[in-house]
Amino acid sequence: MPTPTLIAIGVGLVAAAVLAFLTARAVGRPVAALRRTVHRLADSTLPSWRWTEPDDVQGLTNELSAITTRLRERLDGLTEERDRAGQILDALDDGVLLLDGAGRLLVANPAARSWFGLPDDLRPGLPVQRVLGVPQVSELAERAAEAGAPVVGNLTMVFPEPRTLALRAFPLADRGPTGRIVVTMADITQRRRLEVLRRDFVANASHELKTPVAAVRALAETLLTALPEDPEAGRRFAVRIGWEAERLDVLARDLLDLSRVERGTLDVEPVDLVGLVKEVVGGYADRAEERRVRLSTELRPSVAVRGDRAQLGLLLSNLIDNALRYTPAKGTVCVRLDATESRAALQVADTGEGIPAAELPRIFERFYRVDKARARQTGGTGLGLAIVRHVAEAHGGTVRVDSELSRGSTFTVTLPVAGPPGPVA
Amino acid sequence: MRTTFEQRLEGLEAKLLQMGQLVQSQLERTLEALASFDTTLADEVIVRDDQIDRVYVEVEQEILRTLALQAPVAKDLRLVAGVLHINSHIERMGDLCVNMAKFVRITKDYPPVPEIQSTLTEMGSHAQRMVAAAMTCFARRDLELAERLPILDQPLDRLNSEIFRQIDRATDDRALEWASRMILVARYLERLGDHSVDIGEQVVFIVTGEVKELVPSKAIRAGVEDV
Repeated sequence: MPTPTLIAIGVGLVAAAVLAFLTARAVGRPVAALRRTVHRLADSTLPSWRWTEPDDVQGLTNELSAITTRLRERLDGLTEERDRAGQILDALDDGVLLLDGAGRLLVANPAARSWFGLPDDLRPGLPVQRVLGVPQVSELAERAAEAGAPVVGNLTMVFPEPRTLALRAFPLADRGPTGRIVVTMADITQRRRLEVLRRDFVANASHELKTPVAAVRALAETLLTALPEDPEAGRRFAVRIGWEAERLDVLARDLLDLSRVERGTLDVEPVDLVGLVKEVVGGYADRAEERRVRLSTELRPSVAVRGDRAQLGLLLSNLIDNALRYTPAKGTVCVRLDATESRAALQVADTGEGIPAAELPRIFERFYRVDKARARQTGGTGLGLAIVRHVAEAHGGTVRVDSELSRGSTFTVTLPVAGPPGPVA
Repeated sequence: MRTTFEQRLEGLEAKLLQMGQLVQSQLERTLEALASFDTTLADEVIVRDDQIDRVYVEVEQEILRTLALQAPVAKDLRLVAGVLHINSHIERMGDLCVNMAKFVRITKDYPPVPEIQSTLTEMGSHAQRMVAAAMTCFARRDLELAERLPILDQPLDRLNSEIFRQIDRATDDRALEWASRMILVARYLERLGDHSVDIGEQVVFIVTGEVKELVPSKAIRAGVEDV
């Protein structure tokens, strides 16, 4: 082998060795740095991750891809968690607001947005007072922040809709950025309305009870003084005491009926409406004759519904009782029964004095009377139509009234008919 | 310098909203007093008007100070000018409540006419809605709501003219005496609606710089009449 060739090979080998050394250093250093970084990444993001000190590039690649997979899983988990929290907020009936320490609105859930008429794509970060248009919420939040404890309050709105809200603001002291406040809101409009209804009911009922009781007391006193001197007058007073006692009895019975009906327990059985109408109408024949009112029926053969026979009888007798009460002599009261495939229609039409249009929406309220002054004279309790409506609605039906002044009124109760026995319950 | 200016504007706005709230509660009490002939409640309304007047003066002085010291321009100037107008509208609304409350004592011994009473009740709840809507419109700078205000105002105008037709339901002199006072109450309620629409106009000015009178378009007017 010629010397120059050997030299060339030698030089070549040396150069290769140097190059290899340099390359190894150039690659090895960053790889080591990378390894340390990956280790740290694995340590901080994946605490339970088993670290298998990779000694080559392939090993490092494997570690990295494993870490990536783990990171993706964690991220998916977090996203899922966030979505779940969001879904819960979306589904809540209650309104929820999140405010930052400066009173800016960060989150408003759909219930809160709809109550205040806010758009779905509400921009976060605006002052809450500006967004809601009422100062009460931010005032409450400020009070909660000052107290460092939950604070409650009420808010009555008239716009966009009349609504009463119960508010509760509580500061989020320990977690997240400081000063954040969560405000929850419950719609108590309905509850308020019911409270008023109940209060009115108790007041009305006591008033209705008091009137005959006062009359009985006064009459009894007069009777005591009158009896020795004027037995005939005494007899008249005794009769009137009897009337008042009768009134009390009717009222107590109606109150009991109403409470039974409102409790909502039905004794459901197939009810033959034709038979029921005949039976109830028969019971009023004497009253009608006495008042010289013609009481007639127009019945379609065989109409059956499923329902509570006693309550349906109560409904019908209240309607007939009312009709007779407000129809003058020589008038007529007609009970009609008609049916389609799915609905039965029960009508009680009279030729009485009729009801002013303005009063129609309220006549089904308890103790509501069209002519307050005449109520005592006609002798009703003001509960009859409330009972009628309750029974109709408890049976999945409706009640309607058409009336014309001095022409008469027609009450129509529609009820679902009993279907043929089959799979449909 | 700029921050204090912005804080000043925010403070002005908060005061105005607070006044709006005061007027709304005054209106609520006034309507309640009228419906239940409650003179104690009516007197409370009359006394409480001082609160509104006090805030009114505060806001006005603050605005004058701002104009003199900061010489705001463009958007800021429009806001200050708008607030000045809205301030006096709210103050006027408070006075209208007082006018109505004074009638409670005057008319308490006269027999009311049920039809007129129920029309007034209806007008009262419309007026409450209008005032609340106007304040919301200002708080949110809601141009769309500003355009809707004249439409919301129409039932008030309609009911106000209906009251005139109902005056013949007063069958005797004393009922007529009552009814003639209530015509004025209806007029005040209708004015509350007008002030609310005017507040909407100021909001349009604050946001766009446009001075325009808000009136419902013919088509919309026809539609509302049908409802």
